[in-house]
Formats: sequence, structure tokens, C-alpha cells
Amino acid sequence: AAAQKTASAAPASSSSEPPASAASQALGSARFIDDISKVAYPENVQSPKPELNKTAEPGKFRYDRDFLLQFMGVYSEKPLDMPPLASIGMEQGQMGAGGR
Amino acid sequence: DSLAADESVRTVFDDKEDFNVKHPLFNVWTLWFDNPSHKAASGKGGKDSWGEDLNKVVTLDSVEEFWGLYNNIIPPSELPQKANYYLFKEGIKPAWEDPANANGGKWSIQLPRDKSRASIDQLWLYTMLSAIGETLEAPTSSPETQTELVTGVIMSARANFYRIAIWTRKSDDAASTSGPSEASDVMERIMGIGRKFKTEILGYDINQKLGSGLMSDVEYQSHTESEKKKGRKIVL
Repeated sequence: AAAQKTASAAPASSSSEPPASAASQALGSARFIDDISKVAYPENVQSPKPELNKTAEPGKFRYDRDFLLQFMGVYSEKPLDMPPLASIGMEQGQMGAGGR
Repeated sequence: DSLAADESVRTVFDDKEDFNVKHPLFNVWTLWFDNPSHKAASGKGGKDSWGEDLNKVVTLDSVEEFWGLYNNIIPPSELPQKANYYLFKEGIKPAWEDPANANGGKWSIQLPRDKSRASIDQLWLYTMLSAIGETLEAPTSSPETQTELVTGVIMSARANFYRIAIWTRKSDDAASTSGPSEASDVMERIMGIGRKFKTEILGYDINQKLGSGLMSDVEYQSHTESEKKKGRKIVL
């Protein structure tokens, strides 16, 4: 079900929806990796620990923390189907400007 | 075929804007959030029944999407009191009433708010990463006989403390298993999750004594026992 997440899924709202960024579109159309051992990462990127996926079925992988942390600064597009934070009461408890 | 051979595989590390493969999560996860102190968050106004304020934030099936979410929500250190994050496997409601949780229990730790504000964001992030990365449970060679134990993880912000919990589908309650041999297997696996929680996520020595004042030990309790006044606990 989660396979198709297109921009059209956004609910109608009073504020105009910004167009999906290139990165969001890439995420929407990217295929799932089915054999993690075949992926060649750039030199500065560490592969997931192979011992976690020795018996992995296609598309069912375990990832160590160090591998996952590498994505932090690389992908930061807000999910298209995420509600506005104010609508779910997610706000800062302390004083201070929001991130955006 | 030639088409497939033609297409180069590009991860987000190769091209942030034009990658063509993404990293699937072993399970699909849903992030939920509630903030009962926020008036507008509850459309109905009444707050008598638990769960009314519970909001589904987003459902995730890839590592990339997890970070897209993470980079656009508020970290625990900035949440108001009473707010909770719940990251659960898809289809499981973050409540003990859900059939996947009803017979289970939880590992938890309570951390004093003042002393933990600087570290809580990282501890919660590490908790979520071990959940979506599926490193809380040891990979098993016979998946047919063993259903996954972890159902979800929870971060609670309170006036004086933070609490992080890892919920399991079964517990030390014998009734949650089919017999003595499953019970001992489940116990062993629950203890394994607790040890990882204490050492790899929270960063303590396995034998370190923690409980004092607002700081709790790393402890396990079935949901049934936690209903009781002095319910049985396992302390790590």
C-alpha cells in the first residue's frame, strides 16, 4: 500500500501545497533494493554490516545504527502525506522559533 | 534483459535528487503522536477516553522516508509535557488493548528531565533506529517458529522525566506463551532485548546500577503486572 505515494494524495487544504521537490519525486519513484549485498556505495559511505543480512530474504534487511545515521544529512524531505504539525498538536513546549 | 542492465543503480548517496533505489525497512512502521495538553489537537474536546488525542503522523517503508520524517518533526527535548511519540509496526495500535500487545509487556527506563535534556534526543533516535533497523532482536535461523517480539517503541515527555519503552508481543507471563519450552525461549529473547536496550542504546554497562530518585533501572514488566499496585518486575 505504501508503494504509491504521489503528490495527489495530499488532502485539500487552505494553504497551497508546494510542488514536490526533486528528492521527494525520486523517493516516490525509486525501487526498493532487493539484494543489499549488490549495492555499491560511494567510497565515503559505509555499507550495512553484512553479518546482519547473511540470511536475508529479498527486500528484508537489518541495518546497523552507523549505517542508518549516514542518511541523516542526506535525505530531509518532509513526507508528502504528513499532516501539518499544528493540526496534530505537535508544538514546542519551550520558547523558541520553529525549525521552518 | 537489456533494459535492466542499462539502468544504473543510484542510491541517495550517489544522487540526492535523482536516486532510483531506496532502502526498504524490514517492517513497515507508523509514527503516532499525542499531546493531550494541546486543546486544538482534540477535535472532540473531551479527553476522557485514552486514544482520542492519538494522531497518526506517517507510515514509513524506507530508510530514506524515516529520515525525511525525523528531520521534520520536533525532538523530545523540545516537546511539551505529557506529549508522547509511538513508533509501532503497521497495523498495531500503540495501546495495550491491541491484540498484538495485550499479552505483552515492556522494557522501560525513566530518565530525570533536567539531567537528560541534552541526551534524550539521541537516546530516542537510537531507540527508533534499532527498531526500524531490526537490531533489537537477534536474527533467527528459523523464522517460522518465532514471531517477532517487538511491537513498538514509545517516548514519553513528562514534567520531571522522560521515559523510553520497548513493547513486546509476549511477556514473562506464562499465559502469553503456549507452554514451558516457548516460555523459556521467549524469556531468553526478552532478556536479550533488555540487554541491548541497556548497553547498546542507552550506553550503560550491563551491571551498572541505575535506579535512584527520578532515575529508574532498566526494567521489564508485563502489561498485566503493571496494572497491579506492586506488580512483578524484572530489573537489569
